[in-house]
Amino acid sequence: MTFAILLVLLVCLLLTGMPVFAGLALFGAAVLMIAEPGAINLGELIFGKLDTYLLVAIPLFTLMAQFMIRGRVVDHLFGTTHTLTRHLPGGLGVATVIACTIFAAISGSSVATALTIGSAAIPQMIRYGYSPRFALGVVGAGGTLGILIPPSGPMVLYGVISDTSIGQLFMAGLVPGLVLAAIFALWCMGFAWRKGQGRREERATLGEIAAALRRSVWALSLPPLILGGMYAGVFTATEAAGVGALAALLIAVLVYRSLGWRDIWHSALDAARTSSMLFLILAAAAIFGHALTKLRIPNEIVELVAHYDLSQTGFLIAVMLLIMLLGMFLETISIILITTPVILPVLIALKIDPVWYGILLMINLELALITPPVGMNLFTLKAVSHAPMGEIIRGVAPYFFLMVLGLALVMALPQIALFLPGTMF
Amino acid sequence: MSNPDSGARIAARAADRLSRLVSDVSIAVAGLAMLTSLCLVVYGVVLRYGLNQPQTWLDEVVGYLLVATVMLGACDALRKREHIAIDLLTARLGRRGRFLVAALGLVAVGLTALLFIDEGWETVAFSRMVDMRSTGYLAAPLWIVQALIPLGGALLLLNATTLLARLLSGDLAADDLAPPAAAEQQTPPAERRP
Repeated sequence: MTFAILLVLLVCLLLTGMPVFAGLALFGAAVLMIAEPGAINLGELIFGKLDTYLLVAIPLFTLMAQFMIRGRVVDHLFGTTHTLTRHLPGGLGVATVIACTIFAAISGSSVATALTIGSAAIPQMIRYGYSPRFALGVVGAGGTLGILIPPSGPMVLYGVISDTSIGQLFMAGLVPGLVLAAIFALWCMGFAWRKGQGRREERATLGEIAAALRRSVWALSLPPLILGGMYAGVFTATEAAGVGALAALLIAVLVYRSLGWRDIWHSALDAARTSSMLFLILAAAAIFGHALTKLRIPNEIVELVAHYDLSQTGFLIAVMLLIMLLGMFLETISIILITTPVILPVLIALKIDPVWYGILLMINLELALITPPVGMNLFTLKAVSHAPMGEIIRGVAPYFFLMVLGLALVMALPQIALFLPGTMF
Repeated sequence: MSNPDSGARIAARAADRLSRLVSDVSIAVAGLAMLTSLCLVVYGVVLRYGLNQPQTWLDEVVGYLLVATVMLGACDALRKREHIAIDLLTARLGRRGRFLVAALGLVAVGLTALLFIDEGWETVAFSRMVDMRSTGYLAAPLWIVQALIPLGGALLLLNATTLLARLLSGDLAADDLAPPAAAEQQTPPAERRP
């Protein structure tokens, strides 16, 4: 009950429009002052949270994405996927989904994926006879794959907070991510075929396919480098991010010749700003989390679950519904940071695999990205397309149900997520 | 509000120009820390897997560089409106409402910065008093890196205060301080105001 009241108060505070990090820090400090007057000592807590080697993976993946975005690598990627799928019904939609999947494996960010692919794909889809609603839906949903398909910034954050292997989380996200991408692609094909949308083209010749692959082979080599290195146990997440960022830099500078010194410098500044924004929320959430611990909220929730004798499934469904509700008002990072410390003790008590839960959380956070009123990918689509918000929401609506289907699948069949990490190392 | 050349506006603008300069230097150091982290991580990989000479001090330094990146980048992130805020309700407000929201946001940032300064300084003082050192290979005096917390807080406070002064003097519109759309956050922010 206390947690519910605090959560409602926090959401109300954040709805005043103040920066999330400030709202979380001030609210957490105020609760701490009431719970334990005169003994806060937050400096060490903040420093301890930030001084974490594993977290360095996030700015380095951000830097890698910046190099790829500024290096215009996405144009080559989208061209290649279009060449491969142009003969299929809804071929351009399928190409967009595949490009999102590959870019998700490069950028680790959903917003960056929707923005980058959307800028190239939406105008082209409309030009090829697809309805704007269809184009917006594909990009909005495909973009969400950024946080499920590794590498993923939110996954690193969850891994650090829950003390779960980031390598295992990355591997666990891969198959569900590909399954969701396949579901999206099949939906595109079925929808375009049924509604007669889009212009189908001739199948690409082997020569065209080879030429397209030659153009994008370097960009395509990044995901296997990162994931392969982690799967084989060669790299830690941070090392994979470092090697990935260096490889992205070399590809953009030496192969595509599209990145200069100025771009490199601005990429570093942008990555520093983004990291600062992200980790200040982390530091503030640490204060809030500390307050919750002082109030014994995680213990209370464990006791509540024991009292009602909730099963694994019952608890997971309740948590997923709560996160879905929070996802309508908060963005993904805040949801991870606010809920994970509270839910983790229950996961342990109910013997729920934290890797499995992490993947369910990520799929649910994908939903948060496209659920109004606060859905980051909806805002991204609005900025890219200038389409009315109602049209965007109607466009992504079918994908909401497809993602719920994906969530139910991974919940019913945990091995979809857990098979690959089980074979690691 | 007041006329463009009023004393309050001129003073607020001058103070803000100074804090912008400080913010520019600060983000440049954060960017350098970012690139140094990249170099060190890659150097560590080469040493570990190429020459079989793992260097444990690298992990420690990279962790400190992350603290530097975060704390020194915070004020510029404020100026470039990169800190996430939920504008679900506030986007529908009128001019006066948006002004209040912008002022409230800056006050909240200022108070949080004060919290960082106060709590961070206490930690630094304690670490100095007991000569606390890192547990890693370097055994570095912790207060030096911990000082980044109050320093980052001070930079944030300076920028929040001068932006608030410009807002209150009418030199800055509330919309200039509103958080950008998600997409805008991903674009090069070189020319973004304020």
